[in-house]
Amino acid sequence: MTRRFPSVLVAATVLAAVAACGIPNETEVRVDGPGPQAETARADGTGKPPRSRVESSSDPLAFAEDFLAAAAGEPDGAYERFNDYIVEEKRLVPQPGNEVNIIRLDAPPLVTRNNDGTSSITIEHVQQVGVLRANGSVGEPVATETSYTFTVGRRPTDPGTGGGLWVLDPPPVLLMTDEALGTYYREHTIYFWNANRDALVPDLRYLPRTVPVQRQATEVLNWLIGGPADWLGTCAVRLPDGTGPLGNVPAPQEGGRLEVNLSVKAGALDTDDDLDKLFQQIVWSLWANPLLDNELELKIQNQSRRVAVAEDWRRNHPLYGLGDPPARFGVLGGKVYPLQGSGDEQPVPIAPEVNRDVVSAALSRDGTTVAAALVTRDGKALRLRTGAGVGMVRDVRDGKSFAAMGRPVWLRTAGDAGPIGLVVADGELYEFGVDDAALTRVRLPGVSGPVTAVGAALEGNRIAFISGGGLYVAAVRSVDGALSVGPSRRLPTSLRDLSAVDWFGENSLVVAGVKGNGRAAIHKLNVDGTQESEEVTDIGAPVTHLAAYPGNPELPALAPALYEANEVAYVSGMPIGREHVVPGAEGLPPGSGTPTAPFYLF
Amino acid sequence: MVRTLTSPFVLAARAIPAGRRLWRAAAARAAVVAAGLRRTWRRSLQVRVVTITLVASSLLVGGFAYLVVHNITDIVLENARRDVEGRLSDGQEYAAKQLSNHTTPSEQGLKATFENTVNYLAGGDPAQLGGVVVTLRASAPGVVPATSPQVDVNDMLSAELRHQVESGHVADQIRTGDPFGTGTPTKYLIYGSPVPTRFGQVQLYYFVPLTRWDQIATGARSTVLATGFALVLLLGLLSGLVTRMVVNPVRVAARTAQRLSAGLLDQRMVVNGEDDLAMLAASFNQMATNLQRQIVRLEEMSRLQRRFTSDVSHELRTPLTTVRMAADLIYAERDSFDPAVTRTAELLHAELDRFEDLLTDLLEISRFDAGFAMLDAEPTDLVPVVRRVVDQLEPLARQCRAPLRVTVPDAPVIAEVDPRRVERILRNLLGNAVEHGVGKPVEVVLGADETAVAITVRDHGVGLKPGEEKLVFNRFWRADPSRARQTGGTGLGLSISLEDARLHGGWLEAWGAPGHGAQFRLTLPTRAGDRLTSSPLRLVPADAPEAVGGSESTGRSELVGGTQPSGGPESVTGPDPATSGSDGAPGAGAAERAEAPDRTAPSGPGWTPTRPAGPRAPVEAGPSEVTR
Repeated sequence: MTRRFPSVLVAATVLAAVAACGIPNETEVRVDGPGPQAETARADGTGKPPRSRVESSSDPLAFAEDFLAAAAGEPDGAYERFNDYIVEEKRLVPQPGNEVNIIRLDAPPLVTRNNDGTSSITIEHVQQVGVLRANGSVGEPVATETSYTFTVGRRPTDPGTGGGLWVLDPPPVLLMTDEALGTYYREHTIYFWNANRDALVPDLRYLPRTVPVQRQATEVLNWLIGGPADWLGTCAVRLPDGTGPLGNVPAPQEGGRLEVNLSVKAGALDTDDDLDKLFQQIVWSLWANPLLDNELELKIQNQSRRVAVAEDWRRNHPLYGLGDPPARFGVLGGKVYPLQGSGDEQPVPIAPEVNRDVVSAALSRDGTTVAAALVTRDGKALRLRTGAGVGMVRDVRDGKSFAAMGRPVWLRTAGDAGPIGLVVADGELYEFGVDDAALTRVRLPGVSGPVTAVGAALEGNRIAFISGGGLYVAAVRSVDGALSVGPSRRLPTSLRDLSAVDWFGENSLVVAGVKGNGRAAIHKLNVDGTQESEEVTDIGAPVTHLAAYPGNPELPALAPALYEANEVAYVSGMPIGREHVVPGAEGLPPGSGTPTAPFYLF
Repeated sequence: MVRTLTSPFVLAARAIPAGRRLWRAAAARAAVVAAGLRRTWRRSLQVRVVTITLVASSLLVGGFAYLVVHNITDIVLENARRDVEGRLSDGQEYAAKQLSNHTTPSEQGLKATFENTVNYLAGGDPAQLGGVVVTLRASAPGVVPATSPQVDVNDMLSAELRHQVESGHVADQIRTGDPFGTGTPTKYLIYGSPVPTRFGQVQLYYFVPLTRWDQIATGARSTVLATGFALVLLLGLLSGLVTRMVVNPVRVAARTAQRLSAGLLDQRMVVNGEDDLAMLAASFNQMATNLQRQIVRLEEMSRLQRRFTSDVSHELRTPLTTVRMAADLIYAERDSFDPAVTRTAELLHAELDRFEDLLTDLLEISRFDAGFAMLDAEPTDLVPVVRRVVDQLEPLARQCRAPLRVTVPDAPVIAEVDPRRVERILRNLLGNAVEHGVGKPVEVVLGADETAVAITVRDHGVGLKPGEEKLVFNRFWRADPSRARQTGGTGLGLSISLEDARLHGGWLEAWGAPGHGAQFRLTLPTRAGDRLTSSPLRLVPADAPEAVGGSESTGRSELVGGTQPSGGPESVTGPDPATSGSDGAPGAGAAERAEAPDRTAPSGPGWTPTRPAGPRAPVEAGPSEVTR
């Protein structure tokens, strides 16, 4: 029995060991090896954020200027940064959307010292430029105030003077100057397909410079998913419903592949064409991204669907397909002539029998097909002639005659069959077709007053026009052959007596008018009105004719705006003389007249 | 009220002894069970074999099962690890890519990136993915850790694992927890890896539930355990069956052997088949047959011998009668013969007497041997019997100058005995004592108690040598063979007395020491057929030397041996000497043993109630000392 007992014990122990054998409840920490090392980082090129309150000056004026720039930066922190300047009890309650009111000051803020040690800051003649939204777009202004007053000073509770200045009595809304927008944001154009899905519509966004370059692609992708800006809603389409990002867009190594990963609703993006279109949209929207220096990979639900070298793809899928460099033309002696200066003069694609009595003209080219719209003099009246042809326009149709008729423009891809033309006649905007000279009036919703000028964007889905002295932009689309204009957006400008407008870039306009000093000038203006700069000043006579070649990513160099004042055509402030006219086979007409109504062929 | 107050105390006070009692009872029961087990273990070969097989196979199977289960668990765990390691590596890469967007910990969108990353890595619906939890933590202050699904796993993340991962190692640990609050803790394999980012290190942890792996391991363990258990049981059963196959014939053989030894010589084993056990049974049967044959032959021989003795005795008696009649005639006329012839006639007469006695004794012995001796028991008062025998031997005692001293109780000592045989025994004993008494007194004592009567005959002659107490009962035994058979009996007297005592179910024992004489004791049951347990009188006399066995003496043995040659193998009749106490100790060795209680406890239980020579015994008053 005594000998048996240990063996029983051993057996029991073994059984217990077997029973206890299994995955343990808890183990020691096991080190498997060293973790991954950080890769060498690329320079991120992050810009500086606006000065915070403690960094700001103790001078009320400088402090006020810093305060008006404080909201700049990523939208989520706008209120926080702005409120950082304000004493606790007066801080603004953050509103959803984090919208920032962009204002333009025509003079520095006025500082009035008070006898209690504080200063009242008054900003007068405030121009409400727009509202910077969280998606980086600037919408039409909401606020209507023209002046703001706020108080800065030392906080009574601060011991001594070490606490710096505070905004003791803040303005009621989040404010930021247009200067701060230019300083702390970078313009970034993204693209949306138009309703016909045959052109990409540029959409201007503002990316805070504090966003590191590694994150820019992610931001852009989020913008694309967020949809176009409000005013483009009528012409641009969103990505298919249910499309969303799958994570961030990782920053690649130098020369590495940029991966965009999207989740889409089942059934969407099924066709190759859809994928190509999406890829094209993304690759162009990331045009300015320095990290996209090699390949772009589009993944749908983690599945790789398209990989291409971005540069090659862009080359094969251009935005506008303009082909030739901009060619200038002018009207001399009732005929359209090519003008020198663009470096690559082209013959006039209008048959000589048609090329007569021309006052102003517009040419549009799509491949080898050329469309021409000619405003011709018919006695005292003006009549529009329009036609198209391969290589040369030989056949034109006559339209109705009007007493006054402006420069015609072509919307390149708006129509189902060829471009749609626009012309202002007798204070109304009319549309016409390539083969249809019958002018149809275009309704401009929300706009009253005579229309005096119109300009067409390169992609043909946006127009700019002057109506009742105001400058407007609007999105257009062709519905059943008729042009439908979306809600017009009035742009603020410092010019008055606006006389002509044209698109100067994807997101910029040139507008002619009279400056505050009474002299005619041409200003460059952002499509959302946030930036205005002088292009040509001190023009002796009002500008009657303005034509520009919109700058775009395909264009190697910006083409200068062409304008006419007092029946003299100018380019970059220099008059265009007879010597600049390319005579062609027929030679120049007699007389000493100089070319008028200059325009670009595109 | 008072009762309710006090009752708990009372109950407690009662409970403690009750508990003790219970414990004692349990302990006693356990001891009984243990003893039972021990007995079973010692007695049953089958139990031993089955137990040893069970234990040994349990050990073997258990060890094997341990190895198998351990290996399976290792493999399963390794698989799980590899699986999670792969996931972690991918996850780490993904997280690093995702976090490459951010350069400072305070950046807007970092929180969203954290959350999106863990959501992506966790794969969405936790119910479908078996409860994998992914968490991202940053070393930088102010960054809120993100966990997907949103459960609290802080408790499950040990400081040690955190430390290892924060110091740049990929590390893992298994811990048990219930992050989903389901109430059932689950084992989690926690893998952590550092994720390099531009704003400092971030740690990625995967919490992968090992439920499935655990199930596999448990299933394997259960299977192995069940198989092992079944195997052990099967082995136990097999060993039990095999042992039974072997043990059963052995048991049968043992039983058969027992019966054979009990005299049932025709018992045989059943032989089945041709295997080893069949061979054993056959051999056993062969042996039994041989033994039986031998025993029967020997019995036959013995019977023939006894018959021969009986026949010879009978045949001798007829001529002897004739010779006797002639001799008696001659003897009656001896005075008329020549003195030398007279002397011859007397010699012839005496030797014929002896011859006649011898023949009588031989016939008596052969009657005993043939089993014809019959006990004719009747209630008899032994006092007159003793006195009669003493009276008969008085002349011989006077002749030998050995006075006879008789001590008998006053009251009659009634016992169911055959008076003729008892008388013969007494005559024999007394005759022997007188003959070997060398003129010293011979004491006869009669004692009785409820169950037995006893008579001792003590002489003070040369005594017996150690070992001779048994020999005295042998037929024709003599202490000194060279000594001429001049006196006394035939050499069969004590043998016949022993047979007589045996017939009564009584004892006849002898004690003797060289130089100290000898004492014989006859003990008989009061009722015929009763079993004797003790004797009313001591075998070893009170005046016996202390170390009988050690003392050397001569002469006494001559006396004993010379007169009482005997063929009886035993000096004791009735019970086993070992169980009959010191009273039953027949020899010197036994006497020596019996002496110790005699000296240290003279009034011991074996002695006191019946000793007639005691101071309060009434026998003392009435001993009739006859001296002639």
